[in-house]
Amino acid sequence: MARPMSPITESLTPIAKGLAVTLRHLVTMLRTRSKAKFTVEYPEERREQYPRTRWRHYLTRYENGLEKCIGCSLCAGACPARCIYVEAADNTDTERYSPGERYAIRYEINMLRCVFCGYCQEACPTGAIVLRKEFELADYDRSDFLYTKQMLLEPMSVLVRPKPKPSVQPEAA
Amino acid sequence: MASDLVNITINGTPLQVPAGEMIIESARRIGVEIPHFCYHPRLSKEAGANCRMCLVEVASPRKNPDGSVTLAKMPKPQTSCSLPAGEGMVIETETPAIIEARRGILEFLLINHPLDCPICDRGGECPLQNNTLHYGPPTTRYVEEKRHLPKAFPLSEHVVLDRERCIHCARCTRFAEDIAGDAQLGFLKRGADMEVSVRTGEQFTSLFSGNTIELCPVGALLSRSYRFRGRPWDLMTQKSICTECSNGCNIKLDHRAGRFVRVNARLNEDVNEEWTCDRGKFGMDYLSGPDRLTTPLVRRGNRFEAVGWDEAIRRVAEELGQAGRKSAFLGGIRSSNEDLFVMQRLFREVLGSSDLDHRVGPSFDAEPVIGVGQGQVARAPMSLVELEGLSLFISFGCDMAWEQPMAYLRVRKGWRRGALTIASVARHGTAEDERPSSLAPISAVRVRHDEGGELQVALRLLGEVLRQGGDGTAVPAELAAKAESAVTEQGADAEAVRRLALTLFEAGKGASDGRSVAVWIGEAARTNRQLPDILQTLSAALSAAGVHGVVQVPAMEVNEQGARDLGIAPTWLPGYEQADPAGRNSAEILAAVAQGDIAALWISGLDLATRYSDPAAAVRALESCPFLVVTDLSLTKTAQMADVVLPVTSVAERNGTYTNVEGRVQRFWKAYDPPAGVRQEWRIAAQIAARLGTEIHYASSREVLADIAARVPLYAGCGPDALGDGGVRWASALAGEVGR
Amino acid sequence: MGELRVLFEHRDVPGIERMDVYESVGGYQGLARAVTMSRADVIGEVKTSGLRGRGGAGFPTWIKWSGIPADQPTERYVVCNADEGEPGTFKDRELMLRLPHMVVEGLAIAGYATNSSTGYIYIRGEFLESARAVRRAIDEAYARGYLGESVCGSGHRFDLHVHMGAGSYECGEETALMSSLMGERGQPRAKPPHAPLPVISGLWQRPTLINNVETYATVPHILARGGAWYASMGTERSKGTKLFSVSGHVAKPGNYEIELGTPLEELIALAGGVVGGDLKAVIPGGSSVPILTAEQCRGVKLDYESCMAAGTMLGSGGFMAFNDRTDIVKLMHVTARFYAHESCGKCTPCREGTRWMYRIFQRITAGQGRPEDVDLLLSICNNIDGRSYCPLGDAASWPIRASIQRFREEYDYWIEHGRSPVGDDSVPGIG
Repeated sequence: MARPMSPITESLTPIAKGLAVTLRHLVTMLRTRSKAKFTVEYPEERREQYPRTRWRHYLTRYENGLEKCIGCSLCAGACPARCIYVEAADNTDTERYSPGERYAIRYEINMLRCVFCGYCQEACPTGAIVLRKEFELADYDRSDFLYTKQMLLEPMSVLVRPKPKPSVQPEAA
Repeated sequence: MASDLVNITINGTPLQVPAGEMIIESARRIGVEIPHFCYHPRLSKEAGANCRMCLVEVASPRKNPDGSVTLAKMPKPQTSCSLPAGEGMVIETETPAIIEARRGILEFLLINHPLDCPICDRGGECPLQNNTLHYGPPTTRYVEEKRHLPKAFPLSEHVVLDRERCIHCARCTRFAEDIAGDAQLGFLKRGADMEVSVRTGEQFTSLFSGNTIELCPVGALLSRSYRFRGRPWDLMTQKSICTECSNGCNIKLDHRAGRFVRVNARLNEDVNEEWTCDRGKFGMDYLSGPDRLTTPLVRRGNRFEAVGWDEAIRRVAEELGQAGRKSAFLGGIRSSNEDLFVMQRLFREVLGSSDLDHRVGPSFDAEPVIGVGQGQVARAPMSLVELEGLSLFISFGCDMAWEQPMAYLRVRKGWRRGALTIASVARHGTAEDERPSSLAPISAVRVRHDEGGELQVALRLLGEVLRQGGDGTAVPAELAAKAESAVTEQGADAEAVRRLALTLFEAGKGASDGRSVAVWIGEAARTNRQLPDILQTLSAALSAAGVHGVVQVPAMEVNEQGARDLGIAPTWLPGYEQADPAGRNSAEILAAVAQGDIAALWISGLDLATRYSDPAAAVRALESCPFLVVTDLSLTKTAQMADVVLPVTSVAERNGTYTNVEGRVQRFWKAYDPPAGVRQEWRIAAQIAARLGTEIHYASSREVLADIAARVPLYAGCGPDALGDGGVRWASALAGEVGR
Repeated sequence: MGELRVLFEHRDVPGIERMDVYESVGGYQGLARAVTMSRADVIGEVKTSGLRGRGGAGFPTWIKWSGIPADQPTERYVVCNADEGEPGTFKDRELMLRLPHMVVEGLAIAGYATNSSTGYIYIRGEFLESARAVRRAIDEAYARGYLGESVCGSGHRFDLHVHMGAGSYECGEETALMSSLMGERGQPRAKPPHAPLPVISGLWQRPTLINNVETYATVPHILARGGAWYASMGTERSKGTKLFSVSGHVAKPGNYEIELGTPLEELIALAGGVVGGDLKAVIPGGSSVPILTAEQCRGVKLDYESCMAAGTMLGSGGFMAFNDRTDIVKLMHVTARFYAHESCGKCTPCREGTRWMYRIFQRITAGQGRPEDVDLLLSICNNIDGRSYCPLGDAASWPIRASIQRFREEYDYWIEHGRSPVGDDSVPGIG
């Protein structure tokens, strides 16, 4: 092997190499007068994302407004980062959140730990948790990354039929 | 059972097993697992073999007319759970026919099973799930409507039943009939409409109902308190000891996110086998109770102020230091052995006081165990296993199923085997007579007396024994005269007591040299102020009848036995060494407090204001106490009267040992961190000693236990390295028996 | 071969159900002779006769009798299985109604031969009249000293009790019958090789002899006239006579007693021949046994071995003949409903399988059948057969499997067209 480089050479060489690439592209652009654009003017402009992109989690609802999540904790069991916490409770006839006996009274994801693998979505027996394409998840405070059920739950307004029917009976299993 | 061995072959592997052993057990010996649902080794075989999951192919040797022997294959597959091993049997468990049969059975079981596993509390630890995964069909061919029944039907305040999930294995009904003995569960209707039920209008009030939850191979019987509180993969499990009575059931304590969730039984053949009682299984919620104290409290006028530990310790040390010999200690029956040992060192060695007592009434100033023979072993409480082998068990004012649940199950087991006779003595209208789980229905003799009539019954018994020819030479003349006069008195119980005396003689006849008769004194009799006289009389009756027996006041609280063994008593030191000088007992201590003769009183883990045999007297005394310090988990009535309240750790938050009713020292392990601001009791005691200028230094609970084993001969065999998971009974260790 | 009346010899004598008339035609002679013999000789006589259990299984009677440990100092019981629940069978009902003394006499002989002092007759709950007749016969027998302190003056004590069932087919299975008799749920108990036979450990864990009504009723004749006489009737391995309850599309349904080995056609002729059309199928031994096509019936003899060879069983003697207006699928629908209703629920295959099959039949006969349903039914039959706790599961699967094997085209027709292959007025209807 060659002699070790001096620290100065070691840091200047990559910079020079990088600048060479930029320079080469600049020259090419100028020579061909190309209008081709490689960047977009984010946030005014956004690229279309790949169909299977997985970012922010949502807890979805049925058309009638009931929550799909039944608080089964299978997502937490599947999660390799152990970042999901679920607590379940009983539905009652007067206070019904989901079809059947059980719903999630607490549902929390620690987004700092999440690796967006999508295993939770795969494990979910009711298709309640989905990972959508919202990727702008930056925030200022660590505690704000603890997404609660209220934050994760799809708002009622996205539903086609906004009127909830709280007395819906459980579907035959 | 026959101890003869027979030769059998399972999947080509020859092995020797005891004749008559069920094939499913034999297969286990060589690691062959046969799937099953209804089979359980502790439940009756006669009513089993109904799930048909454990089918195997069997060939047996058959003699031909010409004398030669050929293997004849049985035309139908057989259930291995009910098939006794016979000489020459050849068993196949993995043939294509058996694999197909299992698949068929599972398909049948699943056609009406709702498959609502995601919301089922059993999901994740469900035998039906497991067997379906390993042996079941991947899909179903069932297209008809499944059966629909009400979900989550409450059977009792503890148990809910989901009939849709039931696979009719009859484990719960067999448990209720065979083990608990209350037979509250049964089947209604027949065929595919069959359903588990309690009798119409009844509740599942058995004291052992929780076991059916663990036995259920599906999510049909479920706990109400655990309902939806977590999935198995959410939970962490720690080995622990149940704190709800003195039997010391080994439990698995499940917790989640630093909070207690549920109790399951942990196998210990010598203690609880694999059972728990409902008191324990559903009674440990206090561990995460909302009223837990998390900081020391000091009284300022009429209210408490939260203070730091330094201040609290300084205050207590000052007061105790000033009181010196005039300080006293009460309670400790829920503290660990380590706590108690350090505590009694603080009082005896540092403060110079002998006024310690764990008993909550004046009536308990008697030896807890009166047995034949000399030395410590004879004074040892009877072991739970021993109970099964007795010839006569007398429950004297003892509501066994409630007070001593595991001892109750042992006695019942002995009775079922046929060799054990039970006698029940209680006052009229005892709770025991109202309850399905009770010894009363299976008692050969039942004596019912009026409130406070315990001594009279004991005297009458002694009188009957002497009249019927019992050897009265060892009975003091005065006692014999009293007994004679008692027996001449009229009484509704006269005939029953006469039969009890006859039963005693009967039990004495068949007795070998072991202890064949046990008399257990229960809570009802313990509150009788004449308890010492009762004990003496009963013991005299036993010896007059010529039986080897023991009269025992069994411990009731989780570490009452430990408090006895470790000298939380005025007249004896750890290991029952004579205390010199003797101190005062609980009644005398309270009297002294009221008279201003005691300057500082420490009460540990005991709500004396409600639990003392004369609560009003206790309250009066505590009110006049110059300085009262209470260590407890929550602000009890007693704690509310204290000057300083020190919050301590629960069983789930530390390591330690308890000694159960049979003198078995058992470890429990820390499950999760204690709330910030609570401390272990022995550490508090050691810190106070240090402030008073005496170093009682231990680095850990383990070191304390090691020191106990080193200093107290009684516990010599119970050091930290000897205990293992199942604990060691000090009497067995002293007698040189290993393992028991 | 043909009709041969032994049990029914005096059936039509007026008043034969009363003691006087029964005695006048030679009644209680068998018991009187038995008590003069040793116990072993009585059993020996039964052995000579070659009598086999008439309840359905055809197990040699003497083996059961000699299996009772008669010398041990323990209680022993004799039980008569009169819970005649097999669809198509009604011979025991008539035996008890018309000839109750014959049954009582047979039981008393069995009590003597096995040294038992207590007997129970477990009578099907619906047979009120039969039970009344038997009760009266028992009273009369006590009055004459045939029962009680000293049977026929022999010094042997024998008490006989009537116990009424509560209407469960399963309680005709002997271990379930014993559970029911002991006051427990009418569910079967373990049998060999899992547990000892009832003759070793039956009622209350005591040795218990349990036989069918007809078996007991035959015994007095064997004792009165000798085992060799009885053995002279019938075939090589199926000795004696047998009662057949003939029903279905015949001119004169009723009970007929024939010599074992009589051709099947002869029994139909005895019952007046098939009416309403040509013979289509026969169930020779109660609803539990496989069905035979008319073709298969030809030349079949009614004895245990010949029936087995023809692919069915003699069973309990519930002989049902069906004409060509019969819809086999509907017939099996009724059968499946019966077994689903009567399954006791103890074991998985029978509890779930019988109901499942019934549901499929419901769907097929409602015109909702799917092509895969026939193979599914066959597969369910195979999954029940041999894996259930007691024979009820087998009995539920055999007839359906046989009907599919022998009349598959009718199933296919139902599934393809959604209606009966024999027209809308086909029988049986299901209500």
